[in-house]
Amino acid sequence: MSALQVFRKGLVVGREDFRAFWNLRTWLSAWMLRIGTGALLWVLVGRMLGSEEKLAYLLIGNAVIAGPIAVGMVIPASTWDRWESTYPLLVVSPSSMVPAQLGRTAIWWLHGVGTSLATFALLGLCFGLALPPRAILLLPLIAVVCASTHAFALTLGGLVNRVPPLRNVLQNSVMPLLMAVCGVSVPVSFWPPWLQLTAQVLPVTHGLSAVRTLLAGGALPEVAEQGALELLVGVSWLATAAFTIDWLANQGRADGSIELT
Amino acid sequence: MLAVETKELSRSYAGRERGTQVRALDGLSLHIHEGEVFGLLGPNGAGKTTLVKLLSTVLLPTSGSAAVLGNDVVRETAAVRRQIGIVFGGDRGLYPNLTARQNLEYWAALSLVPAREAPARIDALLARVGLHERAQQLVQGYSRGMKQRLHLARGLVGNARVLFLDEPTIGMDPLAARDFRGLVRELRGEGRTILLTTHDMSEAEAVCDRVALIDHGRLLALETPRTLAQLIARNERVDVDGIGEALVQRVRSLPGVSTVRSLAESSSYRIEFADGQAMNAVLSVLVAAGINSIRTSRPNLEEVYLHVIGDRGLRV
Repeated sequence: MSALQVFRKGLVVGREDFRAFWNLRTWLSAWMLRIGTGALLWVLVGRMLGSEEKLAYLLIGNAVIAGPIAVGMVIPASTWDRWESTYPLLVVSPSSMVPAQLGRTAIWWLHGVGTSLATFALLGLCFGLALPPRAILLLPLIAVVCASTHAFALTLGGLVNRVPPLRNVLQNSVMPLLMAVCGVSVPVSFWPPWLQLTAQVLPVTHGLSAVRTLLAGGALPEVAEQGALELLVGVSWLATAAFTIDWLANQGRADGSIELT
Repeated sequence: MLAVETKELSRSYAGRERGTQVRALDGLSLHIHEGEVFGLLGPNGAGKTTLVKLLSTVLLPTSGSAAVLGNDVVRETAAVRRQIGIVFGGDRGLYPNLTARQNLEYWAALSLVPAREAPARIDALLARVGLHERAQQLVQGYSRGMKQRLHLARGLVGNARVLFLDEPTIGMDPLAARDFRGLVRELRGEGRTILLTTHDMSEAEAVCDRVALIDHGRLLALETPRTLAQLIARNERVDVDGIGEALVQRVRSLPGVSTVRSLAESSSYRIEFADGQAMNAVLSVLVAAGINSIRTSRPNLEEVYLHVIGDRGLRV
């Protein structure tokens, strides 16, 4: 119960973090303009190639990845307690840091889900993508993709807490890497076998595959299976994050890298 | 029961030059009793904050041991964390985008305060530190003194039995600092143990039961503020007006007199003693010479501090 309580109060901290960046108007205009134009660029490549199939591939891939890109904010957000000097207080609080970090950064999961769905709507409108009734399942699938990315980013956030100045470098390196290898603009099969294998344990790969199957009219059990794989990847990353956040804090106790102010 | 006990506690860090080690704390042994306000004085880099970090489980010792309320800070970390609160000075350590109440609600949850008890406890703490009427205001709009009071409330929200106050009044205006010290006295009255690190001698004198002077990670002296003052000038020093150079030389030559120096911006001289028995002889000489403006005084903690630390003063 105490972990749930910490998580709930952490949500409030995250909500106010988010408000410091965006309100509804700036989110819809500035943020969506930035994400929408980035995705549009890729989809226009599909149009230039003159293939409806490639256009649909790029549209779906880039609409889905818009969410994880937004969720990537979890990486720098995980270090904000360092800057606010609340990190040592979290380390020595009787509660685990995991629910606190999870709660504080959960707002970026919501941000990701909203971003992905809005990008789908924007690109679908621009390119006349007809969504079947079963497209309602996009919501849970994208929620799972963003959740697994959240867990992955939390793990990286725990690591970058050891070297906070690298927070933005890591965010800006990892997110394009996910775009490249997880089947967003080129199929996973394009890459050498070792990278294909790596993609299987990264977030997005299975969830995006489920979305493609869903919108291509594939069998729902297959969609569910791919969605479940994405969920499994997410749970694995969450377990890794839970271990690394507290473990790395203890490493900081040993090497003296945690300052009181 | 001892609130804090350290035995030969040491902590080293890797130095800037490869392969070198810096000893931030060097075999420190201390006993702090329950309900005591214990002051820790020393210049920057003396090891004060390192000690607070070790006792509050932010840092692991290199050697030696430390226990808080009987719980070892390395082996029984969870038990220690349930009993302590940390308050440090300055603007940081709070969430500026949250209100005071939201800050305390978060820290109450982290301190495992039952959800049903938290609202009443937070109300009481906000009232106690005088922030009840500003509880819904964002912390980013608070003054330094208000933030410091909120820091104290945060440190108390888990009902800590041992409080570590790391230079809590730094940057506060004198009135706010005085109010803060009043709160510290109240906490002592409740039986809480307080370890206070400070540069401010008057603060240590005002609130501490005992004071330790440390430098280079070592304990130099450990006494009550008053006894500590007596460490250096076991005999009171004498300030005297209107004595000529010849008399100054004569007093200087008396056995047991350590220094005779002119006080800045006055015609007075201060006479200090290496031997407590020398004062009577000096007073006799001065009176016989017809000097009738003679004052005796005790050193304050600042003077003790400067004497014990030596000419290193406040340099890092």
